[in-house]
Amino acid sequence: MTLALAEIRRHPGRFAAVTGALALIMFLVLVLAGLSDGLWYGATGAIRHTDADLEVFSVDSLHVLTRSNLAGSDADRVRAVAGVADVGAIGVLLAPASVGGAVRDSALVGYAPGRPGSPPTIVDGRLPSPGEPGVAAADATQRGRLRLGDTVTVEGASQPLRIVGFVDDARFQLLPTLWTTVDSWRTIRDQVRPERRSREATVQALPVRLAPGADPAQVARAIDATLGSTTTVPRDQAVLAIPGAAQMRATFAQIIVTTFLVAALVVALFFALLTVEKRTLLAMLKALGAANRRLAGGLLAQALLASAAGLVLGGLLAVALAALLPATFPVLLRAPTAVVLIVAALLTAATGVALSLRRVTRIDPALALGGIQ
Amino acid sequence: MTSTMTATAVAVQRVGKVYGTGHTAVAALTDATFTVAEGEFVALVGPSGSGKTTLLSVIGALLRPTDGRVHVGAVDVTALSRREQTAFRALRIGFVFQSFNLVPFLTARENLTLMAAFAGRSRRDAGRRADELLDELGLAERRHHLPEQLSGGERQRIAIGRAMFNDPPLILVDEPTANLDTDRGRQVVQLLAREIKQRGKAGIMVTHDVRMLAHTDRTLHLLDGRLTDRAPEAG
Repeated sequence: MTLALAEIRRHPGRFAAVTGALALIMFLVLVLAGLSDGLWYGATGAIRHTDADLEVFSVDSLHVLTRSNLAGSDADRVRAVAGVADVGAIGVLLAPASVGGAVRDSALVGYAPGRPGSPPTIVDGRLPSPGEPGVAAADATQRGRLRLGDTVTVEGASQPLRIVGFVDDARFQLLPTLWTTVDSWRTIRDQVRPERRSREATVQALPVRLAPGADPAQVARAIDATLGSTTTVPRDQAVLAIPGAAQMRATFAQIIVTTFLVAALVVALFFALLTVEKRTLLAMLKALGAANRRLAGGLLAQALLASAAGLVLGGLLAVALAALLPATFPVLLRAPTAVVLIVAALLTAATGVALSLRRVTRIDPALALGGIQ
Repeated sequence: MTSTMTATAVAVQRVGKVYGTGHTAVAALTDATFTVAEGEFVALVGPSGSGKTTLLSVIGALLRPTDGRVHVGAVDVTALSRREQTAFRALRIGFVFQSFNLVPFLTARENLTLMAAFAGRSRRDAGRRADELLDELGLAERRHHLPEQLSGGERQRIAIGRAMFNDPPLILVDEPTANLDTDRGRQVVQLLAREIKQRGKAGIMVTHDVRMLAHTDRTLHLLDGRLTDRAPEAG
């Protein structure tokens, strides 16, 4: 180990190439992971970041919120099912909305305040109260263009919505998202989409919170049996059904795995070349009595140190980039993701260098004699 | 040169080494037998390809012979496993290589203390031992210098200190003067001979330089893989 560390300390330039390459690779991986997380969180927050355990959709919706349609009165029937603690309501309207003349595609989410499916994290102001008309909470990424008290008008609606608060991680399909009461949402929806108007008050899904100890699968079956034309799934499954979200995440994961493979090859190639270059020195050390284990451990330590330095540099670059980007840009650097990537990067480096360890063990110590160069 | 020879330090018994098999087999060493006593410094000479390096490698537990046995002290080095050979070399054999072969990114002192790590000795004792040796070799002022900051003679003296570091009973020396001018080469071999005598080691030195034979107790001649009684005729 002392040998390996001394070489890095006294010949740092020798390891600059691999550290630089790994820094760039880690920067790329972290930015890709940040984009993946940012897009995932932005696309799914409205469903994922709630306290609902189950989501009830109409049976023909394939668990897609915008395709689902349920009677509002179904909530009372679900509430009566054994194992259900509480039931909320969710409806989504995708439509342009204007703030001070600037129009943007937006998502208007109707929910039942205080019931399952409500956005849980208020970062400023408050949520609409039950039955309170004409107000909304905006998702926190809009704080740059909206302030408390501003009004937002959904194109086609007769009344604007006044912003009373901001909620975190509450976007739907990466759109600027407004949360209003389900009654307010229904009023606006009927004005904007008159073809969706019906005699009975409708919602699109029913978020369900389970009673303590209730079996989710059993309760889901009981709900579907009670309503007859619904499909009830765990919240995570409903999140995966959001159009494009799962595919987007899988694509980024594949790119990240491929990038890690490149990192492993870079490490493997670098240390293979280093081993060849140091063949004479390694043979001499083995002749002097250095065990293969010691030399291999040194090589592994060097790979891990070079990778750690690359990680730090790449991480700093990624953090600097994320700090420079506007809040609306979907890059989200999360500590849990970073920890997973750091561990994966170190394992990648160890795997890469493992390909060179055999070269070390195969060096013949007898090469040290006879004046080989 | 006089010597006070005592017990046998190295016993080479009918050692042979064949490289390759079948039609491509080449006998590099045939039926080599000799002993070296404690405190004895023996020169091993012969033309290129005569088997000097092969014989030194077999004695140094770097190469397994095809036939025969080599005992260093009471240990039959030819019967050791690879792992045992590695540990044996660290503790019981000191090497001085042809091309100085110091670790380029370690200081003079660290090149010595490195041997303690190989032998599993404590770092504290290692520092003290290294300082003693560097003092004795006249290199105390150069202890924190890297090899590239040392002259050829100084580097070879560090290599001698490294060979002595773990106090092994056997010192194997491979062409120690190959990269030195005559005066420096002579000084290095004189130093080697003195250290081997004073410390009661056995020493075997491969050399092409006949001028250095005066500093050894005995000369073994190798020709075509066989030990001979006298030097092969020139030409």
